[in-house]
Amino acid sequence: MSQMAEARPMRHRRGTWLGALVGTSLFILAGVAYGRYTASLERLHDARARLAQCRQLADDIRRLDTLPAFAAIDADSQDATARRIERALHAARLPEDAVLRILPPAQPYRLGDSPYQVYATRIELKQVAMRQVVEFALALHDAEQGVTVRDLRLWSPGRRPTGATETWSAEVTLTQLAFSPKTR
Amino acid sequence: MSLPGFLLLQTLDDWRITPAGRLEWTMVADARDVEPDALAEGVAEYCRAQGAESARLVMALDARSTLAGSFDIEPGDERHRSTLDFELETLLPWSAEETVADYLVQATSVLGVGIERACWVPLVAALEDRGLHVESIGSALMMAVQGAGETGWLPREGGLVWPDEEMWHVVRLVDGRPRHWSIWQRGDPLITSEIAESAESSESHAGAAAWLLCGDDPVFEGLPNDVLPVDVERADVDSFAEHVRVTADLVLRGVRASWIELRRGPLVLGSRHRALRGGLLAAAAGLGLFLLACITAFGYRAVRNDREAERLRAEQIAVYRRLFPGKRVPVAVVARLRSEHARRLASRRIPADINLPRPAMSVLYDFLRGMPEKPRLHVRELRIEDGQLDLQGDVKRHSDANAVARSLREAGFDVPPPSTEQNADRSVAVRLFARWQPPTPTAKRPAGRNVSRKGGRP
Repeated sequence: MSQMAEARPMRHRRGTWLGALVGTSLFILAGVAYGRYTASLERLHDARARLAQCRQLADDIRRLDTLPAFAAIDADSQDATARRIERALHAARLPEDAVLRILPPAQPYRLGDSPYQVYATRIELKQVAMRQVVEFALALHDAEQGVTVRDLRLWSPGRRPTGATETWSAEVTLTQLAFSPKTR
Repeated sequence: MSLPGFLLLQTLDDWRITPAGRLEWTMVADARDVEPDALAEGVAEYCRAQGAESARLVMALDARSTLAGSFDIEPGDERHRSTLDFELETLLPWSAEETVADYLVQATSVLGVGIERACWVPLVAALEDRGLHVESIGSALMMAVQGAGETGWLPREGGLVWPDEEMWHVVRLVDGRPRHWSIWQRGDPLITSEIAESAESSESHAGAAAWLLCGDDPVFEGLPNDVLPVDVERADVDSFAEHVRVTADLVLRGVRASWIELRRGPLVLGSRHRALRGGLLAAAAGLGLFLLACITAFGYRAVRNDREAERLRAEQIAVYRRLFPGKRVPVAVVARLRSEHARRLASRRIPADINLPRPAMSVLYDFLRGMPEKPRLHVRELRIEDGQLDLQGDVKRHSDANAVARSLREAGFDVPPPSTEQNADRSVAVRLFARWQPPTPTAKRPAGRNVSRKGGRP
């Protein structure tokens, strides 16, 4: 009995310490659980907002995809422009020597205060039929890349003999509209 | 919340108890050396009978359970309790570790009272186990002397002789407090020399001293005044126990501390807030359960939220796959969609405030469509610049130029009157300017004025 009684304060203190330890642990665990809960709630709200944004963007993209393109995101390189001209010549069945000269864009100009710039390439053709000029111009046209023939000059070199095929000299100005914000 | 208080008094023959503030003794054990559990059970039963499941107790121990000793110390030593313990150890039959003691210190004089620890720990434990909080353990005699001092008849200097059934307790008082406590067999003639010595000592300290013979003890009759070396008075003290009760009441009310407090060290087993322990434990258990519930709920909700967030993330991927079938799904789906959206906005939504380049082929198409069969027009030069048409050619007559202009107007051109000039060969040179009017956009066409799909009419 005496030994048991002697051990009582020790047991009591141990119980108190154990209780304090358990209580503190519970508080810490509750704090951690609450932190995890709030973080998960934040993630959930974020995921909901992102999904709503995804759906909105997807709908907008689908709607925009139904619209024709009018501009390129990036302007063609000179090589790409040259290849485009070659393809158009081929489509119009024009010989390569029909191209008298190609003048690449000296400096693009901006459309008003907009984020778009126009790159103009001048192509001079000689002794081509009107049909060929039209086919050449149509082959150059590429709305998805904002490419079109904006200017056209046709002139007859002179009076042709009766019965001779009508040929023209042509100056085709190929323009490309490219997205180019001022901040770029 | 205060628990009811009781005074548990050990006498020569028994243990008795009374409620605080009253003197209604009830014997709870008929022997002073009763087993601790039996005594504790008796006390608990008594308390329950008084309507107290829990109670506060002041224990007053009989002089035969305590031992006292007086000694002198160096100034400052009173602050070191272990020094006092070891000084007292030399006067007691127990080691300092086996003793629970308290001290009355007056300057360099110390009166120490001790009990044997092993004898009392079981009893205190048994009482505490039964919800009885031992608030104070004191020497009954010291409590009686303290109680007598509280009632005002105790001399500040001198002493008193307090008899019980077997002994005389001789207590020397200095400045109203016990300085020395000795125990004598009743009728011991040497007590007179003790009193004389004490009286001389008291006088040397404070001049006049008074001595009291307490109680109505017939033995005092055998001590005529002329036998005693100093003048003594007979004090009419009703009851030793009454004075113990006075001190116990003061202790229970928290007004005074007992001069000798032996509830210390190993005898401090319970808390004075024990009555609150049950409620506190229940509150703590409730709080613990609440916290556990919170942890579980938070954890459960967190897992559910994470699952739901994962499902929504999968839904994002599904949206992307439906939009771009076969394409690799990027890590940042929203960022990629934003990028794609921005690209489409830049290339497909025509801002209202810009004039797009007008395709020359559209102008040429409408021009050719608007050309009349007659009169015949020979085109020498045709210039189309961003929707403006500049025509130089030849017609037969001046009026033919107007006919051509009219036809072009019907084809949708804005044509001012042409200029004409007769050539050397009598033909008429005509110069004509026309402004192309793009077709009105339909609901299916974009806001731009002159955009058409690849492969169609430019």
